[in-house]
Amino acid sequence: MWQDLIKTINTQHTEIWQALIQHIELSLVSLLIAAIIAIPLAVVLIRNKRLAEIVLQITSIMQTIPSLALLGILIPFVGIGTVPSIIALVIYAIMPIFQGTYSGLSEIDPSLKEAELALGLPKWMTLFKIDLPLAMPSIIGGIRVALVLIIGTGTLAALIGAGGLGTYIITGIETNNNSYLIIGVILSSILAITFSALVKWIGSFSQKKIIITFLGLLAIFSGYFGYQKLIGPKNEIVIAGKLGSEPDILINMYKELIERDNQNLKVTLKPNFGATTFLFNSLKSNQIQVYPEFTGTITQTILKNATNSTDHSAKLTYQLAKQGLKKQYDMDYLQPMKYYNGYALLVTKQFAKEYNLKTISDLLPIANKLQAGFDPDFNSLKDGYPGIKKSYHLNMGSIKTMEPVIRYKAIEKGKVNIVDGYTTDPEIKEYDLVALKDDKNFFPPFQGAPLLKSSTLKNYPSIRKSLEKLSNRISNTDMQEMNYQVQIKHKKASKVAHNYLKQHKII
Amino acid sequence: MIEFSHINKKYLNQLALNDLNLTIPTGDLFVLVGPSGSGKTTTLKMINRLIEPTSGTIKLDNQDVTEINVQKLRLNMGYILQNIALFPNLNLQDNIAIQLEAKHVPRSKRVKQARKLLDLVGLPANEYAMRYPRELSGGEQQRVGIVRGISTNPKIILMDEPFSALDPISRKQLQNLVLELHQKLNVTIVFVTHDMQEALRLGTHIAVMKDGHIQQIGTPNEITDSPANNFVKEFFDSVNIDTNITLSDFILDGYDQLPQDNGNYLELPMEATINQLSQGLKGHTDGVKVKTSEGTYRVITTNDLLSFISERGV
Repeated sequence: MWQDLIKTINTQHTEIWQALIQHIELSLVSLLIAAIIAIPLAVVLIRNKRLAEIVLQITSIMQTIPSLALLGILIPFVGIGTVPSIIALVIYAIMPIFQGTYSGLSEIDPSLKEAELALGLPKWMTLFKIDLPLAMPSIIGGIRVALVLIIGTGTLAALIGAGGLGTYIITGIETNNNSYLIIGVILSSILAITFSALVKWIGSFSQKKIIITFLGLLAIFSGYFGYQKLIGPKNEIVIAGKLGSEPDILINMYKELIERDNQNLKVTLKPNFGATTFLFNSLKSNQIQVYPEFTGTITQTILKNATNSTDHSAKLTYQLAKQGLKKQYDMDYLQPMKYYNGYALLVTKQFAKEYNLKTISDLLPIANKLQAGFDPDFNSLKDGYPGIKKSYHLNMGSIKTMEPVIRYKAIEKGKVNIVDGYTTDPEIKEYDLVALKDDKNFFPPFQGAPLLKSSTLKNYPSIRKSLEKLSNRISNTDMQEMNYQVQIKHKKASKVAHNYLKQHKII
Repeated sequence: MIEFSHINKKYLNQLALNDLNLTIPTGDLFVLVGPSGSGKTTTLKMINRLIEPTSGTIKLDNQDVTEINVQKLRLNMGYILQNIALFPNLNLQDNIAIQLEAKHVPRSKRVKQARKLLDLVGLPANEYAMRYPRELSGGEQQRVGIVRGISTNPKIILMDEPFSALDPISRKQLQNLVLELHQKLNVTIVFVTHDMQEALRLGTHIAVMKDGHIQQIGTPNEITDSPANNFVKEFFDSVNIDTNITLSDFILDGYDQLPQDNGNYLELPMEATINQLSQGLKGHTDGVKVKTSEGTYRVITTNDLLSFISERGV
C-alpha cells in the first residue's frame, strides 16, 4: 500500500498540488466572504438583542442542513462548480463567526461600555479601538471553528465539480483506491490544522496588523479572480469525465486531439467530475461542453421513456441513443469507440483453457462445477445473473455475493472460479483473467462516445472531426491496458492517453 | 454653575427623583451623599445625559443640556467610575489620551499631555506610560482613571463613587489627590458617595439625599452642627466613633508597633476601649503598651490611632 501511495504521489504531484491550492482558494475565499458578512452583522445586531437571537437561530438552522443537501438545493439556482460550493461553505461558516463576534462583543464589561459612553467617544472609535480588539480572541475563535468546518466540508465540493482535495477522497472511495483516499484525507487534515494555527497566530497580532492582513488577503483574492476573469480565454471548451481512470484517459485524448487541430481553442479538463446525472445536467446547463457517455446509459437512464434494455444490439442502441438525444435534448452524440464496457463473466486463463471456455454458452456443460463470486447488484439485477440464468439456461453450482474488490481477490486465491466484472476493468489484466463472450448478446452494450450540445458543435464545427478520430478505435484490451497503466501502475492519464494516440498513429 | 430645576425621574412607575431642585456653584467640590437608592447617582448621570429626566430642566451656565450636542457635552466633561474601567487593550498613555484622540488632537500633543498627567499623579511617565492597566494595583489604576477624566482640561468633572472599591489606604491617598487637583485645576467636581466620612472630608458643599429627595444642603460644618432632620443626624451618628472598639482590634488589624527600649509607655489591658486609648495617649506621647496573649508587648501610638480612624472609617 505504501508503495502505491508513493507511486501515486510521484506521478500525481502536480495534480495533488493543484487540488491542494484549489482547496485553499475555495476555503479562504469562503472564509473571507463569511467574515465580511458575519462580523459587521454581529456589530450591527449587538444593539438589538431580539433580532440577534433570531439571526442566531436562523444561522443555526442553516448549520443543520446536510452539506450534500445544501449543494443539491443550490445547483438549480447557481449551477455547479465553484460558485455553489463557495455559497454553501459561506452559509456554514457564518454561524461560528457571527457567534464568536457576537459573544465577544456582548461579553465586554458593562462598565467599559459606560466609560465609552460617558467619555463621549464616537461610535467608530469605540468599535475599532476598544470593542473589536477586546472581542478579538472570541472572533478569532469563531473564525478558527469556521475554517476547520470549511476545510472539512469543502471536500464535498468535488462532488459538484469545484475540485479541491475532495476529488481525491471521492475518487478514492468510488474506485476503491486507498492511495487517493489517504492523500485526500491526510492533506485536508493537515490543511485544517495548519490554517487553524495560522489564524491563531494572526489573532495574536495587533489590531492594525490583523486589519492589514485581512485587507491584504482580500486584495490578493479579488485581484487574482479579476485577473483570471480578464485573461480568461474566449474560446474555451470544458470537457468533463465521470469518476475513475477510464473517463480520465478518454478526456485527455479529447483534449489533445482538439487542441492539436484547433490552435485557438483551449480545452479545460474536469476529471472525476461526478456521476451520470450530475454530468448530464452540467452539460444541459452548458457548464461543461463535452463528456464521454455510454450508449446503454443513455438509453436506460438518460432518455425519457427509456427502453429498459430490451434490445441488445450495439448498433441499434447507439442509433436509439443518438436519435433520442437529438429529439429530447438537442444534443449530438458522436461516433462511438470500439470497446464495449459492460458486464462480463470472467474466469482465469487457466480455467478457460482447462475447459475450453470461450463463450458463456461454453459454461453450460460445467455449470455445476461453477463457484461464482458476484457483486450483490449483479446477483440481483435483471441485467445481471438472473437474466443470464434465464437467457442461457445456466444454473451455476454455487453463488456468493461479495464486494467488487474482494471478488477479484477471491478468484485470484481460487476461492471462486467465476466472477462478474466490467469488460475494461484493469484487474482483468492484473489477475490474468478472460472475459467470456456474450454469444447471445444478453448484456446491454455500453459503447462510449463523446456527447455534446448541438449548439456547441455549431459554434465549433471542427471538433467533430477531431473527436471522431477515435471512432471505432480502442479495443477492450486497449482500454484494459490503459486502465491498468493508470489505476494499477499509477501512470498519468495524460501520458497514457498521449502514448496511445501516438502508438496507433492517430496523431 | 449647574442648575437642576423640578427634575423628576420615573422608573416603571417608581419615582427615583421627586421634584429635585439643586444648584451646584462653579468651582465647587460638591458631594452628593446618601444610602443606596437615594437617587444620587441618577442625579449625577443627568448632568452628562447618561440618564434623561422624565421632566424638568438641567442647565449648565444657563444653557439647557438638551440643547448641547451630547457627544460634545461628554467630551468636555471628565467622568470617573467606581469600576475604574480603564480600557484593558490600551496602554496607560492611550487610555489617558482617549478623549483627546476623539477630539482629533495630534498624537504628539496627546502623548505629551498624558505623560504630564501621569507625572502629576505620582506615576512617573517614563516608567508607566507604556504599561497596561492589568499591571497596576487598584489604587494606581484609579489614579489613571482620574487623569483620564481630566485630560481635556474639563470645566466639570463627574465622579461616581470612585473610591468605594478601593482599600482604605488607597482611598485616603486618592481623596487627598482629589482635594489637591480641585485646588490646582480650578474645576467644578460633582462627587457621589455613600460614605459620609468621605463626604465630610472632601465636600465644599454636601447634599444629603434619601428616597429621591434632598434632605439638606450645606457645608460640612453646617451639616454636622445642625442636621436638618433625624435622617441626617442618624446618618452622622453612624460616623461617630464606635466605643465598642478595643485595643485587640488594633492589634488584630495591624495598627501597632514593636516597643522601643527607651519608650515611656502606659500599659493598658487588651480589653481597654478606644476612648481609654485616646485618653492614655494624651499623657503618654510615646504610646500605649499592651500585653498580647502570647505574652509579648506591642505598642499603639497616636499615629496608629489616627490611621485606624481614617482608614477603617469608624
